Amino acid sequence: MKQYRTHCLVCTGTGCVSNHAFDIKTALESEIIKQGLKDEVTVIATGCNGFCERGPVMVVQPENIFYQELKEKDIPFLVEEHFLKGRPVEKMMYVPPKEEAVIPKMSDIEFFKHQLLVVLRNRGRIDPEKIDEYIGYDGYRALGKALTEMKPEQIIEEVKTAGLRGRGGAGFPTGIKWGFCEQAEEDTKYLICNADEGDPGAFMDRSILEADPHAVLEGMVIGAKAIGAQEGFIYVRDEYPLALRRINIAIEQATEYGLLGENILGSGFNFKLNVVRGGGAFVCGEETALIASIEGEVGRPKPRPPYPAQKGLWGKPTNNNNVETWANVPQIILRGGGWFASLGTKESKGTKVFSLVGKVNNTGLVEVPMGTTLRTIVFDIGGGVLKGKKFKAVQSGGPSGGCVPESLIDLPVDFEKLTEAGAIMGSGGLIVMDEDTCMVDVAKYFVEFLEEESCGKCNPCREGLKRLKEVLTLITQGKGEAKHLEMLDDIALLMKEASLCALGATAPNPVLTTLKYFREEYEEHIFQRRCRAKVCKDLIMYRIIAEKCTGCQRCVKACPTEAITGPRSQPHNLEESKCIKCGACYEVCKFDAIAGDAIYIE
Amino acid sequence: MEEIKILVIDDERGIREGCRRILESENYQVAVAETGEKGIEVAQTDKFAMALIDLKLPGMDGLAVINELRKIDSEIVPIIITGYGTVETAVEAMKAGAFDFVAKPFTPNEIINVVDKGLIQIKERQEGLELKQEKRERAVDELNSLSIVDEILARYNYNAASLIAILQDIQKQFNYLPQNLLRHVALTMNIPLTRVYSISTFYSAFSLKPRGEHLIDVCLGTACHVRGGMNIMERLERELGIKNGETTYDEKFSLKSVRCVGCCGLAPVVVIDDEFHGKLVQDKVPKILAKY
Ligand SMILES: Cc1cc2nc3c(=O)[nH]c(=O)nc-3n(C[C@H](O)[C@H](O)[C@H](O)COP(=O)(O)O)c2cc1C
Ligand code: FES
Repeated sequence: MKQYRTHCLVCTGTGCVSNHAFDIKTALESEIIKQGLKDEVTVIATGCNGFCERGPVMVVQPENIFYQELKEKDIPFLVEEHFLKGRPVEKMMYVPPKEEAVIPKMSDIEFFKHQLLVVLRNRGRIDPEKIDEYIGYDGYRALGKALTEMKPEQIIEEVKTAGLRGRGGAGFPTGIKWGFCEQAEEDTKYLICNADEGDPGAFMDRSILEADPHAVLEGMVIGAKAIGAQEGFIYVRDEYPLALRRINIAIEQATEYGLLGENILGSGFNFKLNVVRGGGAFVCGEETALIASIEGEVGRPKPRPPYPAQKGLWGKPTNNNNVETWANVPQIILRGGGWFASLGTKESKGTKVFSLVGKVNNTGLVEVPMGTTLRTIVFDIGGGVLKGKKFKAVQSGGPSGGCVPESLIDLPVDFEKLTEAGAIMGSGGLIVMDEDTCMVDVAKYFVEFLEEESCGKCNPCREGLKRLKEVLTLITQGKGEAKHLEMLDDIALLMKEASLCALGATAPNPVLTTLKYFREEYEEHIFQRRCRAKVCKDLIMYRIIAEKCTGCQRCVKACPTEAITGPRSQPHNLEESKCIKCGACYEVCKFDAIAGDAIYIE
Repeated sequence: MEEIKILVIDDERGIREGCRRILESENYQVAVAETGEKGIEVAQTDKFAMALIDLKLPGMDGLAVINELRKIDSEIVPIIITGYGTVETAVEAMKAGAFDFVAKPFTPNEIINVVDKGLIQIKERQEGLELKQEKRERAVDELNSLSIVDEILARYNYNAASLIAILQDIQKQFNYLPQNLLRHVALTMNIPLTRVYSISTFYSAFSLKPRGEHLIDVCLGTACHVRGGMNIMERLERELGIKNGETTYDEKFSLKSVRCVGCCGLAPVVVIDDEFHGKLVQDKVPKILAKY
């Protein structure tokens, strides 16, 4: 392979692509040619780098310089200064919030410093559309080992030693699950990779598929060998076009290289992989519903037992794992279960990928050892809360999860600790909430989400969610009554006990955790008709603070109903009867950011 | 409007010129001829919407003239002018293919009325043709779309397990799932129509109604929700004058909410067609819409 002096690793994950990363890449390439550097500098399109907040981003190796918020028009300057004259350009480097000095090196940036990359080890370093680059970093070595040196029992034993637990939500030990399926006495067996990723606010699986699809394929072929499956399915959300594209390219290339298909690596073992596009239904992430969906049916869950390990896809033994679970497997085989088990906590081994989003400065994709505290994740890696506001809670586990309050910020994050706190690990979405987030509204949000997504097959879930929504809506409208708190508890308990699948059984979690940790917010809504976060529209009123308003007229222009008037340089006037409480003025007011709120809500 | 030309054939000069005067004052273009033979000559050089023909002409009589004119232009509307205002002659003229007749002597209004009636007939005939044409095109369209669907079905080997993928491909082609195509899918694949419908209503990716030219997906995933996604949705609803899930009257935009597009780092996010708009504030909404 050709040697280059400098490598430009341009992130082409979905976040950066939506910020026109491909234009940046094209501009870089043409500028490099123009300045006669094409034999010295190469441009590589990588998967998600993780630091989506600052996109489009690029890392220049070997110096490890991190460039962010790139603009097409700055590229000629950057190429000339850095690649021709050897002077890295400070203007495009990262400055931490509330500081002034730039941090040139990626490894010095807090966001990256605390992370430990196992699953995401290839992120931002290889081109996911080129199998050779994956192979260049030990790719498919684990497969070679598993196929030629290990018996199926040994593979399963290694995964058990590692203590790997499912990353799709429930955290079931992967080795044990494989064992069940391996023991099923049938000739035909299937594997599934669950890439439905239905949790809103989570994009780990998407990023893994986009950044390192071969890791998932390799894991699946190893699993197939261990279990004795001949065919596998990857079920991908239809909303993920880039991930779909990359997984298809990866399958094509792996097949060409003899790493998939007939007689893999000359070992006589056959395994075929298919990609199935999902249809956009949250419940299809549940494995029995997912199986129905692959069969071309409506995705409704079925009661278990029989478990998929006995009767799954087309009635045959089937093993389903999450994307991240599969991506961990090659590393375990290559480096040994003991190595994996040395990472993490007593019950939860290895690392976990989180998508850190919401009201946090450094949103993005984060991989840390199990047991890392929420504080490290939110404040060190995440850089704290947006606009210096006050931290309130972290929501973990998606719609089945819960809200962890500030008092538990030092909680080490693993399966057990999160469950103890009333939340769950889920698939790894962490949504940071601040003082402007209303917890009753959050509970209502998840209930509404699940009400839409409930498949309607069982009564407790279908009706329970409807009633929860009614009660929560009354409370947010200021029509709450004391008895409503009890009603919420009752409905929640019933749903937990009687629902058919985990969707219904875990659906009350967001309500229960907010009731447990933020009861006073519910009480304020009910007894004082007050929403302290200023979210519930029926309970707030907008008003301009004359002393703070500089008369800049931004809000006058932003107001869609002309409720705000006033000449320049004089405090503006807000006519309450015209105000529709859309919050446009609040969003644009500059003096909210600098001097508290010029327009505030009470 | 295109000029309407009328041919008047009469051997009486007074009638010829009278007709010309009346009709020209109504903005028709008029040509005249004093015999049938001359009239036919004129008709060969120009296209006339209508012909007023005296029944009793020297040489060739009116009915024979009608026949000849018809041979030249089958669409021409012939009207007979007759000196014998009797029922028999009228019936005879109509049988010979005249559209209507006027009896001498006539008032200008009588002439104008009968010409107007003729024009209405012409217009209706054209519309009828268009309607037929449209029907034919629709039939061709339907055949075309059925064959597109057949191609898709063949690609999936008529495998019922691929029903979701099949419907996704059909929707990509036609922008929604038209009823007749769903029926065709059920028939061809030999599966119950109810199954096709239950799939197309269960999965949120499918629409049974035509969607607008541009699809606006507003993310209301958790990250977008806490960063104000709902405000963006409400603003879009107000700007477009429709609610979540609806299509604008001019079929330009369809608005719908989605739960997380996997771009949560840029919340709140709106996806229009395939373009992402991240870190939105509602004030930017009108500007973005104006681009489409
Ligand atoms: C309502 C519901 C939604 C789910 N969504 C997902 C999902 O999007 N992705 C996923 O991997 N698992 C999801 N699961 C969990 C799966 O049922 C299953 O446990 C998991 O895919 C097993 O893989 P693992 O052992 O590797 O975690 C969901 C479960 C429920 C009840
Ligand atoms: S929550 Fe909106 S993109 Fe994920």
